[in-house]
Amino acid sequence: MATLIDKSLPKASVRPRDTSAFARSIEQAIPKGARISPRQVATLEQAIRSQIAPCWNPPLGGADVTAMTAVLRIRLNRDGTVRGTPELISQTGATSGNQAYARAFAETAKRAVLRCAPLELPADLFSYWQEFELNFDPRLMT
Amino acid sequence: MKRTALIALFSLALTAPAAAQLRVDITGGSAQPMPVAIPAFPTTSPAQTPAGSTAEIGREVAGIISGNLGGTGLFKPLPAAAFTAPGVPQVSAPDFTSLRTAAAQALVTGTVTANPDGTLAIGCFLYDVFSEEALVRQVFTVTPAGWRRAAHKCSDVVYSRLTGESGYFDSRIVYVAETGPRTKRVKRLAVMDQDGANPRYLTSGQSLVLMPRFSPVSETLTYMSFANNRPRVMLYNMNTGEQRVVGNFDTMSFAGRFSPDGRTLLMSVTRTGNSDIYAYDIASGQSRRLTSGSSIDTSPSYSPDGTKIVFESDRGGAQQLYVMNADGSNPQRISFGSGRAASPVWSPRGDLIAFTRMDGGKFRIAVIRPDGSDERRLTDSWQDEGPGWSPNGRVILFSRTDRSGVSKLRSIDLTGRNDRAIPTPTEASDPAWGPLLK
Repeated sequence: MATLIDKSLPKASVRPRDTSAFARSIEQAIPKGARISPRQVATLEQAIRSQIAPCWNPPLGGADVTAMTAVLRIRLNRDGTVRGTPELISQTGATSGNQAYARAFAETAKRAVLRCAPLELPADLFSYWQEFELNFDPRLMT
Repeated sequence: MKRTALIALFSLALTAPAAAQLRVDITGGSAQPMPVAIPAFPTTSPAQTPAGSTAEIGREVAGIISGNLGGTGLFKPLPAAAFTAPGVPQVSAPDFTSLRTAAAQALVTGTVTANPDGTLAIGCFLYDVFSEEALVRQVFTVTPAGWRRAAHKCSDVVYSRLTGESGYFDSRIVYVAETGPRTKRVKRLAVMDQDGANPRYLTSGQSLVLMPRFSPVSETLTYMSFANNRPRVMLYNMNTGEQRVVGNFDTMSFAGRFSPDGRTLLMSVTRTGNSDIYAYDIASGQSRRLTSGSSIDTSPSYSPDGTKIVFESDRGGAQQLYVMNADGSNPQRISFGSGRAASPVWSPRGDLIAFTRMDGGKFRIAVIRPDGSDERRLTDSWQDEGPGWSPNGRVILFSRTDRSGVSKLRSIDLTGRNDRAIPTPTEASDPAWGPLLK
């Protein structure tokens, strides 16, 4: 049985990786002197998600919608209003042939944030949500 | 087991945030139409034109844009009472605060100006109400009689800017207008704007017509006529009204459709009880047979790049869809599952093929990928058939016959939403969408 399973594993896909880099990135993600638990992180994420998602009208039906995502960086004031404008920091699925669609897609994401602001988030955790990233991914909707 | 855990850890590492920052995935959204304010376009100086006053035209233009955008199902034009109608100064400096209060997400506005030379300048502006950015600033100069087209062009640029897809409003639909009793039916070629305006008849109704299709590049239609009781593919020049028979086939020809460059007509030609697909070169008059055998091969449609053809054939027993190379080589069946599949049309976007799925006594409009995957049924009525794509490959036109035999035109978004009626003065069938006008 074990030999069968071993055969089914594609050998080429297993490459050694630097796990210490991963460990560092997790440590960096926890701010200095933080007293935030994984549960609080999950709750905060859910609070953000539940306020942004209803405001997002992704351009469904577009030819490239299943392959497209956009990541925005958001900065908030203490009252939950948006500081500056949401910044597009990365986008997948954009090609030379679909620039107009990629732009419209990113704009629906920005519009969702501006439309739903001010966000209502726990004041004591402001240091965690004063700046964060949103990854808009409509794959589950199509 | 240990190995699996390691792989899981690696994939986690790939998605872990690089920076010390919270990252939240938004994987759900709202499919509600986007609320848009489209108030009457103000006039810079009130004037009379042969098409009415500039103030009237400003109201009508806004009404047409509202109808176009609202009709897509993607936008919800807000009622005029929901916000203060802008004057000319607010066209370039909108009151975004009041628009946000009215829940508008975008503003379509503009101006109507009568030029000294008798033309009309129709300004078309689109604003994002939240970012307060101007997304479109364009002016269309038209004859007074052309104001309706300016409204369609404005709709196209607004639609295109907000969805990232090309528009389809400045275009026409050809169809078969049906009148008279069932036993003595009159079928005429008819054409109208995509919103149902400007309907007109192209043939007299003396002989039966079927399956009209637009050329994608010229003012030409192809259709099938039963003149002299012999079904033949015809060409119709919309500028001159001239009609001519395609080719010199001594038998029946039908199901004509243009190639994407407008130079070739694909059609079915019947000889000794079997139908094959032919490619007819319009300039030279030469034709080439692409399929052979004893089966009925029909309803050919090119892929937008012209390299492939989808068609319908009963070579495997019942009607199914096949895709072959443009020279007729390598036919592959792409439709499976229960029932039959007919009338395929390749999307101008290239990603889907629309067709009629006949199953369980019902005809439904469906789409499938060109490789045969992801079949989806878009409609569920009794008899929906004869799909045709909008020029941007987003919307599908078809005809729906109810149980009393009444046939009307409808359209549906390729997401399966927004099944809506297309108004026609008479009963109608066999619709086909034309290209965007130049």
